[in-house]
Amino acid sequence: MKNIVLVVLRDRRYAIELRWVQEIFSLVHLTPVPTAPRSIAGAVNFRGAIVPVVLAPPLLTGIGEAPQPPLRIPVPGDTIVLLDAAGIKAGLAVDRIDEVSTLDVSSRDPGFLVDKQGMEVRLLDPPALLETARIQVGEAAASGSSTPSKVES
Amino acid sequence: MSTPPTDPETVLLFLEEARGCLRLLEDRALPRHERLEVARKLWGGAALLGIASIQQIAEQIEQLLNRGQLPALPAALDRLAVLLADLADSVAPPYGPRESRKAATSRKLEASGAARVAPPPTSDQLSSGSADAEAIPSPAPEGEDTEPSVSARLGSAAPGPHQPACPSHRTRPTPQPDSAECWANAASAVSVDLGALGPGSGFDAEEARLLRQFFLDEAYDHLDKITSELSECERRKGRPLPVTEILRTTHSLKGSAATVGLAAVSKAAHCLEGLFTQVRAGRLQPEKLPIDLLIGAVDTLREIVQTSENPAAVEPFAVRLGQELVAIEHIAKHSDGLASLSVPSVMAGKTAPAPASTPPSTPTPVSASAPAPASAASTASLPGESSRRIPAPVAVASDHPRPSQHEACKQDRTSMERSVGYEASDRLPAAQSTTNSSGSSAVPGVWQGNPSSSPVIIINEDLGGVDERRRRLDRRQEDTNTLRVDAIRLDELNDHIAQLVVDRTRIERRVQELKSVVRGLSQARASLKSLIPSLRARDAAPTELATLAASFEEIEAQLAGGLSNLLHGGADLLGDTDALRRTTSTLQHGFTQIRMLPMRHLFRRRAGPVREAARMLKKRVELVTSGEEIQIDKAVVDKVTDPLIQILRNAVAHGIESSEVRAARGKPPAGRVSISARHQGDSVFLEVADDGAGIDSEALRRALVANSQMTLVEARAASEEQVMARIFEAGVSSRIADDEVAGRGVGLDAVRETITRLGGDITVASSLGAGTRFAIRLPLTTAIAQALLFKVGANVYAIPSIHVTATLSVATGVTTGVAGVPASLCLADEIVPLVCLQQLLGSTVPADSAELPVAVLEYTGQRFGCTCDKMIGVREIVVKNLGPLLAPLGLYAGATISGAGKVQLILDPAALARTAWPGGQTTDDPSERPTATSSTPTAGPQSTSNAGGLVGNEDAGPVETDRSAGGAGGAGGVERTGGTEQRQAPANVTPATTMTTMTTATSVEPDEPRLLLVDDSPTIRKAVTSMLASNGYAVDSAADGAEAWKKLHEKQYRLLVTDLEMPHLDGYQLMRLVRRSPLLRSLPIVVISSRSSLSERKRAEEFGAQAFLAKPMTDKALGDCVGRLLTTP
Repeated sequence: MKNIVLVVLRDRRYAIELRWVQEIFSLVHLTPVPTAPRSIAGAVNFRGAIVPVVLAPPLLTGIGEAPQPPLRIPVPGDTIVLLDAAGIKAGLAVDRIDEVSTLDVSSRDPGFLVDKQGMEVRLLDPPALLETARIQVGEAAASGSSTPSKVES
Repeated sequence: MSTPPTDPETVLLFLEEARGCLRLLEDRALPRHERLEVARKLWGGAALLGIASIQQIAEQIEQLLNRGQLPALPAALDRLAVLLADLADSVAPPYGPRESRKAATSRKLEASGAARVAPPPTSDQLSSGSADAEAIPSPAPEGEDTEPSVSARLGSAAPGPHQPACPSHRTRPTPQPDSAECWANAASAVSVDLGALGPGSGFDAEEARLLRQFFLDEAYDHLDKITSELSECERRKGRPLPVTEILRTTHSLKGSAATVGLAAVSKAAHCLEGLFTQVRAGRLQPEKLPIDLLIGAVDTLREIVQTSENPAAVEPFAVRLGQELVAIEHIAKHSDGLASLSVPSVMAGKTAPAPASTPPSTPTPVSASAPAPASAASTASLPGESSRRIPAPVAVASDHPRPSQHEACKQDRTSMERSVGYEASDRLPAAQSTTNSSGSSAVPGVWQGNPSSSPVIIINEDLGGVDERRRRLDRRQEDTNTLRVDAIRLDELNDHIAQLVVDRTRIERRVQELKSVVRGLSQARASLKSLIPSLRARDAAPTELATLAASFEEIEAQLAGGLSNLLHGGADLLGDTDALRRTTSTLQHGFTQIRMLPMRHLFRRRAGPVREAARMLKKRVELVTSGEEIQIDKAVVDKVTDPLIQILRNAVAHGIESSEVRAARGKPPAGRVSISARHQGDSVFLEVADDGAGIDSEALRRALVANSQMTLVEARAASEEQVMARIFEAGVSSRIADDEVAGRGVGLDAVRETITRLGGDITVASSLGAGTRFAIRLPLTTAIAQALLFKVGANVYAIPSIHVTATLSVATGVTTGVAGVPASLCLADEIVPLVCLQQLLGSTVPADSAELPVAVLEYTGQRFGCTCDKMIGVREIVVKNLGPLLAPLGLYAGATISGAGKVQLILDPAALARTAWPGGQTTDDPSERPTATSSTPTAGPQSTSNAGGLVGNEDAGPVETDRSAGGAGGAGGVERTGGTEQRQAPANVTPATTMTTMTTATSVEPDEPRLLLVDDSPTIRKAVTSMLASNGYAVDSAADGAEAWKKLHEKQYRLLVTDLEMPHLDGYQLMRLVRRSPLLRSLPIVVISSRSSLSERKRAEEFGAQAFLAKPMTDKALGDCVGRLLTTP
């Protein structure tokens, strides 16, 4: 049994354990952060602190994978789930929140939960997600300092 | 054997250090190179003191480490330990006997692992069932010859009959005087030593006082470090205890305490160190140590430090520390269930001060009010509480009549704690309650499973209980990320907040008033509306009209009143919001103030390194500080600490001369190093000055030339300040250190980097023989900064305005550069690179703009421009950090939040400077100096062929060879290579930036070196071009310095021929730019001028010209001159 919040991302449902969720808020203004990797949509002011907003798709599909569909950059009013994991506080942009619930872990794969209709829902792993984001930022920073400009390309 | 050194104090210092070295050398976890460093350090110290034997062994150890002959190492370390013990024996107690030769030897054997013999279990061990935890290293007589256990150490502090009281003597049927007493003796022995810093110690009273003050700061740092390590272990279960770190810290604490004559502290630290030594030696298992109690012991040590000036006050704490350490040791050894069975007989006699005759095995539960008489004041609430909570065994021991000494001790402690601010009344009950509530988590075996282990609990109770520890711990954990704040400041903030509430209330009331105005106005409107039908009735009688008019008048008056109210209300609201703004900014200021610390904190931390360096080098140095009360942001203090240490160390090591030299120079024997601070505007000015030898600018010039960082001509031409400023450049340092400039440059580039990054700057002035003066400007705070805000694309960015030197605009639409933005910027006196922020920030240059605003920045002496879409202006911003995810991007120094709540990124000037000057000041690799020729005729076609050129660059194989050869030869003597040659940007040059160069795709005459001719006269250009062409050179020409500078960056030239007098940028300026440029500095320059006086020639030479030809010159003279320069290095 896990206490989770069910979120919808690109028409797919994911579960996030509540212990990683600090707050859910509505986006007011997103400031883009140039030179950051695709997974970083920007930064927001969350009660006076600077909080990055991450996009799940580039983090879920792994690093260096071939062409990804264009990302939808969150706009004001979008739902942001504030995660606190792996020593990082970051907002995760989601399409919407379905519900807060308690679901059982799938017997087939512990990476999934089973909802009330018996459907499997993938369980997101916020620490791994944010750690991936951190790695991607590190890579972006390293390539930014060693390779020529981006505009050249 | 060692030569007996003259100064025992120095020897003691060395001894401490050497012991530290020994420990580090023994540490097999330490990487070899670090151990090598330690060995070298040891060698250096021994050499300094002339202790040949230790010097030899250190050398031997170094060799062993170097050759990787690790198996032979333990023997060498043993020998070292013996030598150290000998040395210790040769100097006076109390230091000498601390580790006898024999003890050292056995310890060595044990540490080296050679003699770790599992002893046959003694009956005692069998009974305790903890043979594993009790691995006594050798069957040698206990106590004296092995590494002393905690209590043995305590005993050794008070020589005499107490020695046997150590726990390892458990087999004695009747335990002898208890540890508490033993510690009391230790403490009194200690208190005798307190006078050590008195006359004869080499310090006068004032100096001693200062020293102790410095020591206190250091000690708290050490203790905080240990505590935080321990807290971390407690918080994260399973994290291994960082024994080596803790040992190192306790060891340095011990050493420095001894140095300032605080023997009590030194001994206490020594005891704590002893405990961890046992852990490292494997006699205690780190995971069995009760971390709670350890933290408590460290706290007690802190109390000892705090009260160290007063022997009487130290005593009870010393006693307590002894008890705590014994308890810890005991718990660590008996933390399994079986062990606890034997505990009572040992512990009751040992630590609980009950008489030996008390039968500890017959616990009789009694009321917990028993301890009450000990301290009436503190137990007011005790009986009810404790009878409920205290486990019976606790009460058992409490039941026994307590020896008076113990009572006294306890009372002492209580009064002491009261005096240091602990609330005794809430301490005790809480302490009692913990014994079963939280103790269990720390030591499961003893606390939870087996009530018969009561004496341990007694100890704990006596010591104040786990809960108190926990509360202290909590307090400390809070401390780690907080600041100590003056209560007055908090009160002030509270006042401001109260004012904020008042302001808010007033505004709310104002809003209510405005609402009622609005109500009045709507009523008026309603009345007006109701009159409209009457107006529509055309047949209205005059009387009715009169009535209507009257109504209108009434409504008009109503409206007028409403309007006036509205006006006033608006004005008042404005006034109120003004007040609100004032209050919020006061509040903001107040919060900034909270982060402020007096400079004293910085200065005190500095004193240690100065004295250390002075001692090491046997110099006499007087440290003078002023401006201690100046307040500065803690964040600034933290960051500026290391740079300041660096400067101070340099001042002592290289600035201050030895006493003999000083005497010869007629200076007072003690050198003087002063740090002063003063406050001006938004900055704090720090000055570090010494009256030492000063920096020899001539030697610096020579070193710079030898280092190819300046040409001889430049070096001659440069002013004193210009030369001195070069000391902060990377790469200057080490080579100069070899020179006779006294190594002033060591690490100064890093110093400047740190200070600049903070938003400050540093300059140096020195006069040879009289001293050196570093002037550092620091911002008052890093939390609030002035920043230039500007727009790029849809977003607003900020740059700390401290780095902005000018704003101007630049014409766009040029065919070179990026997106129509020129690659460089022509300022009044130089041409600097221009960074296209639109490009860097992934935006586009607005298509419709003919000009772009530019901010000119200067960072560590490098100037450059940055374009933006629109300047907003300079604002005060609150700087926030980006957090762990975004900070590594490197381009941003943080972010701020706009009035509207939007995040605005702050660009890091350091990152921009790196983009602008990719080679940076560190680029002095001659191979990056391109020398090959290229031959694209004009700018236009170049830009179109740019992309192709970049691609073509990839396979420009032969160019590399040529480039490096030419570069190494100072651009001379390059063999002409065949094939197309291209100028290639160094690998780390970002084409995004201005310093990149064009490459060519067009054909070139294969072997013609290309020269650049600069002259404002078209006739001369034509004439000289044909002269050079007839000598076999390809020539490009430019009409003035600015054009030439641009061309120099577009193409690769082998030589520059320039006139002196030209519009825009004259020959001198051009030469200066070329000589300063990391890419071009070794380009040969020929000056052609009609002004050929000797002074003119000389001046040209100073600016970097290699040859000077008077106009008109002959074809041959020019050809010979160029040929000579191109073939001779």
